[in-house]
Amino acid sequence: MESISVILSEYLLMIVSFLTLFIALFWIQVYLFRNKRDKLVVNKCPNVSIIVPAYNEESCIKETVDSLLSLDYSKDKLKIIVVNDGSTDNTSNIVRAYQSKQVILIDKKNSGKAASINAALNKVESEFFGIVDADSIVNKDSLNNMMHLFDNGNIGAVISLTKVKNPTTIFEKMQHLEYIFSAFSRKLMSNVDTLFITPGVLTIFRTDVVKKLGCFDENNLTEDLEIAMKLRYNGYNIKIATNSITYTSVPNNFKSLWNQRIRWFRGYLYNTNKYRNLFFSKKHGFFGLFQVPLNFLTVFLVILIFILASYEILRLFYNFILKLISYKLDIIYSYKLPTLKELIFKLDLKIIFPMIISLILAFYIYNKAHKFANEKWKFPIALILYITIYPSLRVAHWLAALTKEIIGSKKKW
Amino acid sequence: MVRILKKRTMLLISLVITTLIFLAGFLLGYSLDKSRISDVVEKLEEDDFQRDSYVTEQKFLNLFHGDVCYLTTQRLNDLSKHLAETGKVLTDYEVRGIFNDNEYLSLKKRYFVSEIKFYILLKELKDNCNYDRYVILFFYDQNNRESIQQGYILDAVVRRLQNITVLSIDRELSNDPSVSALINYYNITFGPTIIVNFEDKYEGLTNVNEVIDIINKK
Repeated sequence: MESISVILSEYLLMIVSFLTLFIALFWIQVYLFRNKRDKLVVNKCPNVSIIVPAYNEESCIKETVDSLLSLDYSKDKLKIIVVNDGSTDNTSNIVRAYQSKQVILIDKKNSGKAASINAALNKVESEFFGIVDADSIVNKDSLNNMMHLFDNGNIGAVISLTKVKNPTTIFEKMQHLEYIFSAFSRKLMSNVDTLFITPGVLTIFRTDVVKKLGCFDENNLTEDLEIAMKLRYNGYNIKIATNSITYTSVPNNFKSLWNQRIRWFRGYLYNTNKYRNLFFSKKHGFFGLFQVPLNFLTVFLVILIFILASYEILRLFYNFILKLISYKLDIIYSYKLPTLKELIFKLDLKIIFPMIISLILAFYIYNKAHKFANEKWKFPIALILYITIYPSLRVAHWLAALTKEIIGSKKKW
Repeated sequence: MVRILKKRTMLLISLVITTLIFLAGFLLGYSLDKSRISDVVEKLEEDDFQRDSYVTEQKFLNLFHGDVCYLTTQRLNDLSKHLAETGKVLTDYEVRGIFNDNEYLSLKKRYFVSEIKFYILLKELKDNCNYDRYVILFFYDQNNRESIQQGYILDAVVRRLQNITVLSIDRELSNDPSVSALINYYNITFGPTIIVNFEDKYEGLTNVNEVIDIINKK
């Protein structure tokens, strides 16, 4: 008789493998059978205001404004509104030098990103407005490539394809890989009309819709996720323009990555709870019945996989220690390389076989994601760390965020 | 032109393919399990054959040569090692078995009977020929930390001392008559318990140096 814990972990592993494989196969089908290509640029140039909330961004605001000014879009139809959110550095002075009919500067006391966006929204009269983070840059054709996706009144927002700007540290390189995968998954979600994210790097919104829904939630850690959920909750769709490329700075060290992810994940938990009526909501179609529960299930699966892997590692470590205590110095001689027959006979195929298939599918998806983002496989060390260490880090982020959300610790940006 | 599939159809296809992959995994696992069982059966048959061959040789020599105690240490070493290896393989395979619990149980019983036969042979050699091979009979409980550790300790002892045979018996198989006979004879109440050279009983965890000391005093 095996111990209960081993049997339990085996069953859990099978359930996790089944769900993972099921989800992977679904998305592969979405890629294969519902891969709508983005149309090429159609000259549709409605008025657009781009809002750039900025707090102490003197090192990057110039580059951001320059990239916005170089957008291939009719100049008289594009306004750039930089909101200086009480910066204590030279941000305001840098932007002031650009002030014109096209570039507007709003100086205000520090009150957070969402409040800055809302302050700018009060001045927006254009049919559409966009948000660009002050540390992000956009390609010339980005905006043009997004506007044609507003082909019906049901589209509330269009997002761009975000990549990491100049990845140099190992943390940035790992996030470079993560962003490629995220972009691909957003495209797949967009293909089945379940996209629920409007990142701040460059997203264009319908002004009247956002104003009608009460603008941005100023007490939210992730106002970009909240507005996306609000759009979805109210029946609006979100699309991704895959030929609209934007670049953003990402945390370059452990601490800043930790803080950013805790904020994101707390925001996700908070907003999931806020819009919990979306769960299995028939009214919201496939989004409510599949995507919202799937998002939650994914978090659960990530944590469960980590616990199972940790249990297995601890079990092996425990056996090793037991052997070490028993054998003492003989441990050096105790290891014997297994023969091929022994190796094969030791395989638990009912678990290993689906896992091998999942692994092959994961590499297939990973490869397709690279092709989709026009990126080559690079950063091999970052890739190894991304596969081995990064998931554990992600679980740590989730667990910390969950704990903070449960105990209601102070929210900070 | 890529065909557009409905979301519900895609979910259904995913479910079917995932189920098929899992079924394939079970089938492959099951057929591998059959091969494992065949492997253990072969090993057990080989053990029986080697032991019978040895006994036949002894009987032949006894009949024609008159020397009942003609011994080849190397052959006993080989028999002992082979039997130990069969036990290890059987334990490894049992953990990975699918739907074959009864077959593994039956193999285990057969293995323990083989061990007990070898134990009797060693006892006869000791009594009749004053054969000085050390023999440890090890009773263990499954999923018992001390029993697992005692197993590792005995492995280490076998590595240090050449002239030793360790025979392991699962105490929980006491419903088997031959195992039950041993358990009752030695009054085994819990695992780990070791019987050194057919007589001395040591209950609980006995470490490497203690086991070696016991043997050296013999």
